Amino acid sequence: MTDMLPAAGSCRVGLMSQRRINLPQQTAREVTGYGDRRSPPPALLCRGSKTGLPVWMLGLGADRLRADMNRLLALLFHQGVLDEQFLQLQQLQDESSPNFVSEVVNIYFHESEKLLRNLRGLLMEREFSDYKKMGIHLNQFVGSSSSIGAKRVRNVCVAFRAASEQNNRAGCFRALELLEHEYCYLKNKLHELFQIEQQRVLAAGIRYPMQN
Amino acid sequence: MTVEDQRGGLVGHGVATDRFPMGMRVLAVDDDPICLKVLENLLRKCQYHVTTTNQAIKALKMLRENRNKYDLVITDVNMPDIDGFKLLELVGLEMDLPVIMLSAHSDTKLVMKGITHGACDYLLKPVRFEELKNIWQHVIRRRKSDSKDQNNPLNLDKTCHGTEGGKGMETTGNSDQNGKLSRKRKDQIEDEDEEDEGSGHENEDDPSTQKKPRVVWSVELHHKFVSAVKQLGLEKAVPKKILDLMNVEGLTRENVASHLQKYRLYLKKVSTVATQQVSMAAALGVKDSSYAHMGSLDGFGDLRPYTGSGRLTNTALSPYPPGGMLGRLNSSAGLNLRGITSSGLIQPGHPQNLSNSFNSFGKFQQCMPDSQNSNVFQGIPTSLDINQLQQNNCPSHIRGFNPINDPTGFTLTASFPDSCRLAAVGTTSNTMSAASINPLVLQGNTQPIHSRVASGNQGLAPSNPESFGLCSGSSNFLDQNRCSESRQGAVQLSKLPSNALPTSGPLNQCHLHSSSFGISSTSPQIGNNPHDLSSTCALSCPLDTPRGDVQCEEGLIANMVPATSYTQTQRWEEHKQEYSHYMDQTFSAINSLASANSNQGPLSHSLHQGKAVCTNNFSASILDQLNGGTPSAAESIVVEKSAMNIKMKPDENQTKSQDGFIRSNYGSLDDIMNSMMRRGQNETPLVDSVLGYDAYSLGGSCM
Repeated sequence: MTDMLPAAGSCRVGLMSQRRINLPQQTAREVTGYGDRRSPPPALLCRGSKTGLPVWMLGLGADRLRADMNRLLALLFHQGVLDEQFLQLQQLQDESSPNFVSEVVNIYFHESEKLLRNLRGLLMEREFSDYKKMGIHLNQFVGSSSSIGAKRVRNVCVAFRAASEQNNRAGCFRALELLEHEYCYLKNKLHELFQIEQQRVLAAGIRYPMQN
Repeated sequence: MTVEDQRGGLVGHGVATDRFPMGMRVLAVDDDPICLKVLENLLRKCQYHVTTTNQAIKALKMLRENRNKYDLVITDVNMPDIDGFKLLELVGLEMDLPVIMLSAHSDTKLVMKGITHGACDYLLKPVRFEELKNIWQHVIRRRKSDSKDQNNPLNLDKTCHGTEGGKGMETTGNSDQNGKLSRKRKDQIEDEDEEDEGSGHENEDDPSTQKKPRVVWSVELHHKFVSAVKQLGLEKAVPKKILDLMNVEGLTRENVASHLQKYRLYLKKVSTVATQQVSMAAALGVKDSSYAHMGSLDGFGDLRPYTGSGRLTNTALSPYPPGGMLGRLNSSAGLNLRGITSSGLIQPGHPQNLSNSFNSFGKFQQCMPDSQNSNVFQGIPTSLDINQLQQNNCPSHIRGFNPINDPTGFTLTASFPDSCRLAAVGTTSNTMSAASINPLVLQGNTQPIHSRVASGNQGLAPSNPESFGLCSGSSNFLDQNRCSESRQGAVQLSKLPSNALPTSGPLNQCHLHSSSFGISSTSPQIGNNPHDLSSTCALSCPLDTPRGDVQCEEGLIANMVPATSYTQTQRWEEHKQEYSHYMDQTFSAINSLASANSNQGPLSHSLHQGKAVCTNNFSASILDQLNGGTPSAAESIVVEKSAMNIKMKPDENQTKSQDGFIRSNYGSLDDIMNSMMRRGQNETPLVDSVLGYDAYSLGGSCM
């Protein structure tokens, strides 16, 4: 599990960066690994085109991207970061709600950061005593985390909730840190996942002229 | 879908139509936008027709506007504007719609509350597609029970909750659909003599419409009933007499009888809530005073009313961990639980039922997901031991408690009584902590501890380890605070878990997902647990932290070997206050070390930072220093730690010598120290977030 440490460190929950899902910024070379073969002129490799990928690369990258995505998903499942509920979310995504997962997850990020802010604010109070309020926040956090399949985050929240039910302030602090850490990691990974997904969709969706 | 279709398909024809449950109209209420969205989509996937709102008030408005627009209501339990249970009551009262509760909290007492308030079902988040696929059964069931013949009670133990409406008299009685179904559909506030309200209206097309008159216990009718009962005196109230007093036409003795039964149960519930502590104290044979603190166990109150006697009160108490960190009540488990409540609650005075319920509860525990410790109830002692237990501490009630479990591998040895006593002592003395432990860990206040002790098994609910870990920590704290005598008990208590925790280690891994505390496990410091726990006690890590034990956050702490002896003494002999005192000492020790190394600069700087947060790391390293006594190490650590926020919450009383020392050495820092000492009494030091290195960045220049 050590790999998650550096990732988490890069996420400044304290600053509450609101990262949204962006267009892919990686170059085709990074994404597809095909960069060597045809060595296109450098100009084409940067975000020249709308999609951020060179046109001639598009069709080829989709499979690779899908593989990347699956690999990442498998890793997250293995680590217990996500559980089968996330799969259910994915199954709910269809033609009628094509961006369901990313919408839900974005809402989740938004709400969670609010909650984390509140929790930290509560615990930082000098005369903190409102465990009940904390419990309410935590309950919501547990609910939303479990609804999107964020297993580890949910587990930490449950422990946090237990600590707050016992009015154990130190325990709450520990749990809060742990929670922030886990949340950061989850957020990073989900962002990564969505980026790959976006690229994949784009790569799969764009037809490029079969010229050469 | 036209209105006619809907009505034809769903109302009146009962189950007949093929399309049902497709198109069933569901109203979903949840203040959490994520859950609401997921729920909505899941319901759509089930091909229901979904309306959502995040405000309960709005939901009520929508329901009141047109009661027939919806077939089913799903609502969250914790909502800011109206409590979910209140909504449940209102919906049941006014609209007689089946209501499903939804919650992230699997707390048993909440589930109980849901059932008693008339919920058809109680689902846990995350809601799964498979669970939602079946919720239509509640609609059918309710419709059937509404039209049910008085003489043909079906398996309506669940629906009758809802059908009886929220008169506050809902019980889990399944024998009552004979009488009092509140037909709220058309006649909200009927007056006396509601005869044949329901049967006439409800299912015109339903072939099974019964012909017997139904009594609607309207508010007025109920008032009459209550006044009659009062007149007679509850003890003496016999249906015949009540009937005479009420003088209501068309009311039969049977109607009154069943209503009376429900009323009695309701009263018990209400009254025992108030007296829960006393009865609990009595039940457990422990000091009463300590149980005054069992406020946290208020959930118990819900359990007790259903036991007709004080004896059973406690038996009822035992099996149901109110704090219920029992893991997720998935639908199957939830059903078991319902089975429990219906069997366990309906018949007070029937230990057998309780044991049955307990059995099912045990089964429920067994089917809990993703946990190795499927036998949560391993902790439940065998009847043999229970008898022993009774003789030792508790009055005989638990005797009826023929357990339940098939504890796999659970062995309560003769140590049980002793440990029970200890636990009892612990519980008495631990007041809050015990109370908190009980719901979380104990089933019945004592057994789980022993289960853990004796078997060292994973007799804990999946979430128990986490809660237990945390709460045994706090219990240790609180123990020390409350009673001296508790120390022994506390010692025992906490020692017990230490034995058990290693086994629950794997438990942790599986359920709690070791990764959540896995950070601890990644770092090697876990071994520092004074309890001599193995590295699996990732749980205990957070636990021990308050005592300055390992808190291996991100491996930040290089040398996290706390002074076990030191901490242990701290643990067992000192209050939380003393702990902060201890922190003080460490702090002052650091100061002294720092001064010895003439490192006042950074230290003072860090002190200056205002927010002094003593991290566990800090304390741990300090401990290390205290034990190791190497100034150079201290210096490095001090320097390192001084970069972090250091917040001491020293207890003024106990820092005299250190204060003086500190003050003498840091004249310029006097003010800072004073201000810091004044802050926050008796609080364990705050732990600054490793992630949010605000202070660190601020104080970075001090390095």
